[in-house]
Amino acid sequence: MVTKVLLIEDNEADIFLTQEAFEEFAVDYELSVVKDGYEAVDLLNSNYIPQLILLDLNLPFMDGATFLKTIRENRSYSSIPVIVLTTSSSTNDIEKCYNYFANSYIVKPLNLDNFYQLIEGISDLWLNKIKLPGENNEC
Amino acid sequence: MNADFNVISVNLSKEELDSFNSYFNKIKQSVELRHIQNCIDARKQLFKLASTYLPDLILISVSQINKACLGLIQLLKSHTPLKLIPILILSDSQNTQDIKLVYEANSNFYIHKSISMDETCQTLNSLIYFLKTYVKLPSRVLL
Repeated sequence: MVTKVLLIEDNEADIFLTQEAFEEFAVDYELSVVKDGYEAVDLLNSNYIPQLILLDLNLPFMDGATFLKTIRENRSYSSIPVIVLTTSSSTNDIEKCYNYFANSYIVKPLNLDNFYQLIEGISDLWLNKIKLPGENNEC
Repeated sequence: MNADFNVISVNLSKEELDSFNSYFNKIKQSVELRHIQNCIDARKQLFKLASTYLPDLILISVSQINKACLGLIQLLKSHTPLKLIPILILSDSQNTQDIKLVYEANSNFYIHKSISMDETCQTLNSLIYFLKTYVKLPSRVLL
């Protein structure tokens, strides 16, 4: 069973690191990447339904919080778990995202080793231990 | 609230409650489980508790996903400030529709109860470690 993960991130370095860490620590996954909220909504509307979303907040065109609110208001996508993964530790952003029902809010570690440990933790917990929706490609 | 991590648990069986407490004691994890007997009592007690005590996690244990469980999640997720607190559903069900319904109700995590109680304890401990280590918990950041 392959777990479909969607990374919504515009920073090339962070995309590279996340892909590299997934290759290192995750098994049976498919990681897709888009670079802004509109692109992510288009992807969902094209019938690509991920089982887990990793969402940056500071995105061009449609920011992460607006994307989160958008999918929580759409019953076709509202069950997809969303982990906010951002550099922002602003309490406003944290509160806003939990009010839009983010499943978790994580501030990206600046240290590379810590970032890899985080992705290892996400992979171990969310891909192996927590049940995700859409195991039969439905959400 | 003297523990490192505070959980309000709802509807745990006596075996589950004893196993979790003894597991956390054994591995020397300071986790407080404040237990409420069932989903109906939880509605009243959680709202009353919310004015003085907000946990890091609300854990709801059910055999199967039913109306009482979904109703409780929906109620909690429409209550300020309880809506900010992460909810973990621990269930015997692996039905894809049940999992979908729980996430649609804005529950944060869904864990399937293993046949082995020790394995379920380990999974719960992994989640708590993840929350303590990486996640900005509303109980610590916002409230």
